[in-house]
Amino acid sequence: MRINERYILSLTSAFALGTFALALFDVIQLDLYISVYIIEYFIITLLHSPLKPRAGRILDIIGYALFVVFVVIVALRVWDILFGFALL
Amino acid sequence: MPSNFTILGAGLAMAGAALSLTSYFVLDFVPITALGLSVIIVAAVSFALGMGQPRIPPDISSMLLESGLENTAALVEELGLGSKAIYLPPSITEGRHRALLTISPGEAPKMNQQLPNRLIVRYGQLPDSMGILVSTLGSTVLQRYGQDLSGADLGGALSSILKGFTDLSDGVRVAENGARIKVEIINPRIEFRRMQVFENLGSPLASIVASAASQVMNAQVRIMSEEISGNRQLVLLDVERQQ
Repeated sequence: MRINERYILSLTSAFALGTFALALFDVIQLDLYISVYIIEYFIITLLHSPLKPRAGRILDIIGYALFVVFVVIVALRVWDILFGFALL
Repeated sequence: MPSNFTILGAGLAMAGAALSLTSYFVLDFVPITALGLSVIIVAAVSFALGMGQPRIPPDISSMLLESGLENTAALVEELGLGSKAIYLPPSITEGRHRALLTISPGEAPKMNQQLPNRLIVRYGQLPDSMGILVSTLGSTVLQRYGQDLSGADLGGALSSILKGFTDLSDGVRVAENGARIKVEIINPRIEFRRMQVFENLGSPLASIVASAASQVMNAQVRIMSEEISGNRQLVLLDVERQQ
């Protein structure tokens, strides 16, 4: 199996397992699911690096976007803890 | 023609969007909404991988490689060159990766001067200090991916090239013993064939290994031997570092 195929398969399996595990524990916070996906994305991508430079550059952009989402989720959580009410 | 990964990405993006929107607005069920979002992430990754796919079909690439090899083989045969190629670092070949085939076989000459970017070159003062500078598969690969290897050691560079950039093997192991370096290529994806020109230049994979070694170590490199052992290709290099 080629590295690209392994990468897609690993990512899909990790996301599916993550969703199943969280659903099993009756987790209903969407931001928790997204955070887990983002962490899984970074781990799986790192394990399959380096990929072809062109693909790698686009994956970097996806990584930046996901990191921004992660920071926003964490910031909202911190806000919630500090001020006692959720923004969203 | 879009690659399979691009088509897969488009399909997954639509399915993921439909799944997450339906689940969020109609079913109000968080796990399925999250699953839809994960499918959108996989779609984005699939698009990215599709962008990295070669535009030329693999069969055509293989034919181009074979025709290039046949031309080099004909040239080497016509000139009656029997020496093993010396893979030169770009620092002495005007920044281009080249392999030198000398007229006289035997000990590898030590290069102390810049060589011109020509086919026939003189590398010393003796009458037979002449040879031809040829481009190999390794030269082309290093020309394309060489700038992404800055600061890497040989093992890291070979792993990046053979496992990551070109996907030509599942891994690489490097064992260094003085001037001799043994490289083990795990599950090579280019079939190992015995051709007369490979006795001079080395097989395509060995040529990539030698070119990478010459760049990373800034050294003259010769392929001493190569063999297949199970699912591994073993390449033995002789390295003479530049001063």
